[in-house]
Formats: sequence, structure tokens, C-alpha cells
Amino acid sequence: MEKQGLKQGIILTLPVLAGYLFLGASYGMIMQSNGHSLIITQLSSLLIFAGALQFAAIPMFLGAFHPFSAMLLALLVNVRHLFYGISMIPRYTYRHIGKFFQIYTMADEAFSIQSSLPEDTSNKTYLLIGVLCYSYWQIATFAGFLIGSALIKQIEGLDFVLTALFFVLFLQRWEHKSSRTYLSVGACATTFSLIFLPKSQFVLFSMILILIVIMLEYKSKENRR
Amino acid sequence: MTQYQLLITILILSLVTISTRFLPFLWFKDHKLSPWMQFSTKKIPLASIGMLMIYGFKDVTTLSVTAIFMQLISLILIAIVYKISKSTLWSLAIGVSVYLLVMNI
Repeated sequence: MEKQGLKQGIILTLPVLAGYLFLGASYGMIMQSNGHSLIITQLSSLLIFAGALQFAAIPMFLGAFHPFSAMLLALLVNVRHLFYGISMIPRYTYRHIGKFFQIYTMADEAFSIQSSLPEDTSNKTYLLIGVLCYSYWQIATFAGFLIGSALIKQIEGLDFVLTALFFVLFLQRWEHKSSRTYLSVGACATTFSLIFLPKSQFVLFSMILILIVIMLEYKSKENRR
Repeated sequence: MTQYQLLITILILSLVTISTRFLPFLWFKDHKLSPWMQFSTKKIPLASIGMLMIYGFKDVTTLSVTAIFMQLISLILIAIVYKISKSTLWSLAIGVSVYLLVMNI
């Protein structure tokens, strides 16, 4: 039973494994070539565990010490986690340490897979997906730092697997007609923001757009009552 | 930056990231969800998946024209295979393999 659960978790996270090996190894390699120590590189992956932010902070690690800009950067890049958290409140029902790790490991990839599972999925499965993704990222960072990821770097475009993963999980949701409105709202709001706003702010802006649309629908439903 | 400052920067990035992940869970821990919140918690998961799907393309402008074209082809392929097989893993495997093969030959 346990073994079968692990096997299922690995199959579910296979695309993440491929994508993370590539991105995590690239991260380890860049940090190493920028002259950072293994300890700093690994601590960064262990403590931050947010790929987009870790890459965005690379130039910052080479510059002067600006704690406030660091805070702002992390907030702007990771504000989208708020939406993931709100989505997972009814699903993460472990207590104490189990729930801590469910939330701690809630990155884009873990969230996208977990939220595509049926509502009655066990807490163990959610936790396993998070922990597996977290482990892949750590191993990849470590390997990238040590071997300079010479091998992995040669495969061009492997990070596309994560883009494709988000796309196919979107398609899976699209099968349900009732889901289509808000899938479109999310996609359109983000496309609009990506085109018209600076890259550092588009996520925050698209979240605000999404909330406005939800509020408008709520108000109109309320008025009809 | 000194090693010490670097460590502080990492801790700041970590703490802010942790806050963005934990805040919703702490905020709604004891609150009963208002009707507005109940309504939006039904819509936000779907909107998030829509957002994440586009978010995956945020660096598309840094790619070569060939790469963009091939991504488009393989996304169409993924959609077709998914439509037929209803398997996320198969459609991903086929779509991504085609992309990787073309890009690395």
C-alpha cells in the first residue's frame, strides 16, 4: 500500500522531476560560476524553494545589500501563492507538522498537480507530492553545483516540460464546461497584464483583475436575489 | 555583499515566500468564511490554473523564433493527444519529446 502510494506520487510528479532537474541544475551551476559556496547555494534552495524567485534574485546576490528590495522582490514574485493557499484551504487538512510541510512545499508545480486531483484525495498524497517536488529541487541544485550541470545543460529547452505541464492541467480542467468561465478569466487577465505591464508587476495586477471580476459576478448575483 | 549579508538576504527571501504560502491558512484559521469568501474560494482555484498556464509563457519573448514556433506545434500536439487519450502523462510525453527532439537535432 505504502509502496504503491509512492509509485503513484512519482508518476504524478514525473514532469516536475524532468523540469526541476533541468532548472535546479541550471541554478546550481549559475550560483557556482558566480563564486557562491555550496552551502549558500543549497541553503537558498532549501529555505526559499521558489524557482522563479531564486533565479530573479541571482543579480541581487552579486550586488550591494538591500534588505528592503529583497523583501519587495520576493513579495512581487511570490504574491501568487496567496491564491494557491486560498484554493488549498479545504484540501490540506493535516494537523501540525504534516500541514506545515504541505504548505511549505506549495510551489507552482505541486499546486497545479494537487489541485487537479479529486476533492477526496488523501492528505498523505498531497504531502507526498509536495515533498517529492521539494526533494527533486534539492537534488538538482546539489548536482548542478557539483557537476556544473554540463550534461543536463546540453539538452536544450527541457524547461518547456513545466510550461507544457501547466498547459495540460489547464486542458484537463477545460473538459468541465462549468469551469471554463474562470479558467478563461484567469488566462485573459494574466495575458493582458503580461502584455501591458512590467514583468515585475504583472502577476499582482492579474490577481487584482481576477478579484475584480469575481466581485462583479458576486455583486450581480446578490442584486438578483 | 558579505557572506553574512548574503545569508540575511536569503533569510528575507525565505521568510517572505513562507508568508505568502502560509498567510491564507493563518488568516482563515478561526474565521468563518463569509458568503463573499465562500463564493471566491470556488472561483480562485480555477482562475489560478488559468493564470499559471499563461505564467508558464512569461519568458517566451527571450526564445528564438524556431523555439516559439516549435512550442506552438507541440502544444497543439498535446491538445490533440489529450483530446484522444484523456491522459495528461501521455500527451505531455509525446508533446515534449517532439519539442526536445526537434530542438536538439
